This record gives sequence, structure tokens and C-alpha cells, in this order.
Amino acid sequence: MYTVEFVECPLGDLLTRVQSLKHEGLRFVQLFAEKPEAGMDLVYTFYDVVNDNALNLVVNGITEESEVPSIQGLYFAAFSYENEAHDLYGVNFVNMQLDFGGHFFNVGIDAPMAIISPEQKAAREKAAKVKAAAAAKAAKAAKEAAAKAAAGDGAAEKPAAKPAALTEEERAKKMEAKLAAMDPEKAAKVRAALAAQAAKKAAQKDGE
Amino acid sequence: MARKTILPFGPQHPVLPEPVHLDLVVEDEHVIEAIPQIGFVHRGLEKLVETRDYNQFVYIAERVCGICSFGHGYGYASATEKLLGLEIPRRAQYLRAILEELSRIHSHLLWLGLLADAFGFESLFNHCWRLRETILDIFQRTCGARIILSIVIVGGMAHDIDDSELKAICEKLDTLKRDYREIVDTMMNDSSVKSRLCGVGYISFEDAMELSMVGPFAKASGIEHDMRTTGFDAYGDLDHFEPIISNECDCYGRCKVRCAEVYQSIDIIKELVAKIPHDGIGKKPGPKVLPPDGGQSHVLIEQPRGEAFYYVRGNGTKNIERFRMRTPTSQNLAGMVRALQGVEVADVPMIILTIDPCISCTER
Repeated sequence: MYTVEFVECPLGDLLTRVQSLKHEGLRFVQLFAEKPEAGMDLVYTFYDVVNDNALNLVVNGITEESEVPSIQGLYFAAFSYENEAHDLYGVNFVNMQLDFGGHFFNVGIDAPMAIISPEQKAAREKAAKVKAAAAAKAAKAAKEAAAKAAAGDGAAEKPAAKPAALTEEERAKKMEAKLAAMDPEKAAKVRAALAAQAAKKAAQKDGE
Repeated sequence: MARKTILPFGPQHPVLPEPVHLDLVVEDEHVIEAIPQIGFVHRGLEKLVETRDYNQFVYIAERVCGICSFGHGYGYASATEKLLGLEIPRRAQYLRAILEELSRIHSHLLWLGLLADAFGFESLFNHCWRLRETILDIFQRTCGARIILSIVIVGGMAHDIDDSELKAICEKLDTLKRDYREIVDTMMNDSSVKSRLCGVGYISFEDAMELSMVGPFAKASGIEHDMRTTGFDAYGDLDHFEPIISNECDCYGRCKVRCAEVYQSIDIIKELVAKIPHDGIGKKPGPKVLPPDGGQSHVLIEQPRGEAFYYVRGNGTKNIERFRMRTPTSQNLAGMVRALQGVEVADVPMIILTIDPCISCTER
């Protein structure tokens, strides 16, 4: 089975690095672009047939103004990927041997794949919230563990104090925080269920 | 002195049912340069991954192409399993390899039929597609569908294939092998076929290496590159596997490699059926969400047309942040451009057919 490696490569070193890989006899596999929050990333994949290793060179932080050197002179097979990354993501390659000038893919709009869709935006926001919540949880756990260690073994054996009952306002706040971290569709469903529950309770009170 | 003219070829052409356009720069009857253009059926399927649950997307990946559909589902599921760190049962790996080899036979038979049709051998075309029906019938019987099988899921297989059914597949393949041998021997020994294919569309070993070509196109130029040799999944359990190569470097060599690969696939299926373990098919659902941003993986598998690349990156939600599929045809476009340089216009359809591009895969 082959191994997989991801290595970061600054834009300035790209051509030199690819040149050395060509010299070592690595086969070019592919190149693709991706659009994170800011800028653009390029991933170049090469395959070392001798060691069965797939090497991925990751070039981060490419902007619209960045001039990415073309590797077609070294690996001509890259022409389709460079033109694709230009047409679909708007990456600006320079010194291309075969340059279609934006007409390799006949798409209706410029750089359609670089558009961040509302779904992707929502997913990224959710991912950021999940990440923040996990970090907060980890920090809290670390704090508690430190407090326990400071209190000594005897304190650790004592049963944990029962948390004080939450007020209605605190409960609502807690629920709101939970809903914010949820999938928007799911959150809407939960809100509707809570509203129905509240209405039912109110109706029961009125009946009494 | 001859005048240079640009001859448009495609996207609608009698011998090429693929939406690719070539600007052939010709001088008299000789092609000086070929400039390909695609993008007529670009569907943005890689972008669609952002709006689908990672378990759902396996069905979309299968719909990228109607010929190598199983392989795309297989590649996507394998990359996602690698990202999630899921270990799938050996039986599921064997079943995937068996279905992938059946897909290879089906793809090569389809290709051989189209090539025969381009020659004007209509009866041979019908015989090839008749044999292909055997494979499609196997798919229908075991998976419930003929083209889009929907049997691969992230974490294993949607359902099992009985041992008795696997045995029946081997018997059917024995019959197919006998009939196929008759067709191939007729086709490959025909003098008109040889005269149209031998020495045409020559790509040397050095050129094939330089252009990073893959699949039967590369193997026909003497390159021993086949991802199955790395022993991924069940391929690692094969007693002996060696890629089929040819040193003819021309259209005839490409045909020879593809024709021989059908026999090889039949042998692989029989060996896997004889060795298949019984440890389940892994129907357990995977985790609800993918690893957070930074979690990424890719796999390389051997599709009928050559090595294919599948990349996935998670973002901590149920959706995949980025999916990339690099098909063998994308990689072979450079080789196709080189193979067309200096040939006669009449040979262009044959050269393209022996390279067997799949633009549907390339466009995604």
C-alpha cells in the first residue's frame, strides 16, 4: 500500500521544488484549487513510483493578484489542471505553454467554484462554533482538573455538590446557546416544538 | 507550400459520442497541432458536496459517469473512510474489488464495440455489446441495477452477495471468456484492423513518462504503472499481479492491452471469489460529523481507463468541505494532444477511440 504525505510549500519555492521532484523522477498526478475563507490554496500531487509515496505540495494564501508560475514546462500534463483552476477558481497562472485564456471550460460566469455558497458559509460558521465549544469544554475540564488537584485527594473523594437549580431566564439562555450551535433547519424545528410546548402549557393553565 | 487550416472536430462527431471539441490545425492532410476544448457539460458536482451529507454524496459520485460509475462511488467511499479512520471488513473489500473488475470488463467491452463500429464492423459491435449484457445482467441480479449500482456505502457495502451467486458469476464469466476469445481473435488478427492501427498514434516510452500518462494508454507504451500493484484493499491478497503492458506504443498496442485486461480481470474475479472471507460487510453507519478542518485524505485507485484520484477534506460538520476527483482522461489529455501531432486527418478518430477518453468523467 502506498503512503500519503502533505507538505506545505511557499509560492516562491514552488517552481524550484517541482523542478527537484521532476529531477528525482516523480510522476505528476494532479493539481487542484480550493477556496478557504481567505485567499486560495493549491494542492499539487506527485507520485514516487520507487517508494510508493504520494506527495502533496500545498501552496497556501494565493490571492487574485498572486502570479503562480506554471509547471507546464516541467510537466505538460498540468495544462488541463492549470486552465481548469484558472477558469473555475480564477487562479492567475503565468508562463503557461498552453493557455486557453479562460475558454477551456465554457462556463457562464467567472470562477464559479470560488463562490462561497450560503450552505458552505453556514457549514463553516457551524464548524467554527463547534470548534469553539470543544475548546471551551476542554479548557473547563482542564480548569476543573487543576482545581481538584489543588484541593487534594480528600476533596476528590467527596461527592460533587449538586448544582443549584437554574432559573427560568438561565434555562432560556442555555437553550438559546444550544440552538445557536445547531444546524439552522434543526434549530428551527426545535424552536417550533418549544413554542408548541409553551402554548400547550399556557392552554392548560387557562383551563385550570 | 501547404496552407494551414483549422479543422473543427466535435463536440458532435459520428465516431466520438463524447462532448469534446478539438481544433485540428492541419496542413494538407496532416495534423500539425490539436487543441482540445471541454466544458460543454460541466455540472459542478464537486461543488455539490457542500450541500450534501457525506453519506449521501456517494450516490452523486456514482452519477459522474455512466461507465465507471461503480469506481467513482468506490473511490469516494474509500477516501471518506480513510478520512474517518474507518476499517471496513475484508469481505466488503473483496466485493468491491470483484465489482470493480466486472466494471472493467464492461467498460472494455463497450469500448471494443465502439471501436468495431468505427471500423464499420457492425456485427462485431453487436457481439461485443451482447457480451457486455452478461455483465450488466450480473449487476442487475446482484445489485438490483445495471449501471448505477448504489451498493457501496461509506463504511462497507449496502448488501451482501451470496457465495452461490458469486459462484454463478464465475460460471457466467467462463462462458463469456470463450465467446470473447472468438471476437478478439477475429478483430485483432484482421488485416484491415492491423493496417489502420499499427504504427498509428505513436507515443514513445519517454513521451509517456514525460506526460505522466496513465491506464492502458500508458501501458501500451511500456509503462508498468497500475495502482493495483500497490495492493490496496483486496488486491493485496492476490497471489500474483502484474500489469499488462505492450511495447508497440501505437493504437494496436493500446487495443492489445485492453483486450488482454479483460482476461486478467476474469482471473482476478475467480481468485477473489475462491478466497473471499466471511467477516461481514460493514453496514454500521459512520460518525455523524467529519473530522474538523485540516482533516484530509486521498486515495488512488485503478479505474478501467487508468489511475483515478479522490480527495476529501472535512470541516467538522456532516458536509465535506472539498471533494476532488481527478479522472484518468484528464491526465491523458496531454498524451492525446501529443499522439495527434503529425498524423493524418483520417487517423484522428481511431487514435481518439484507442485512447478512449471519457469527457463525462473529466467534466464532473
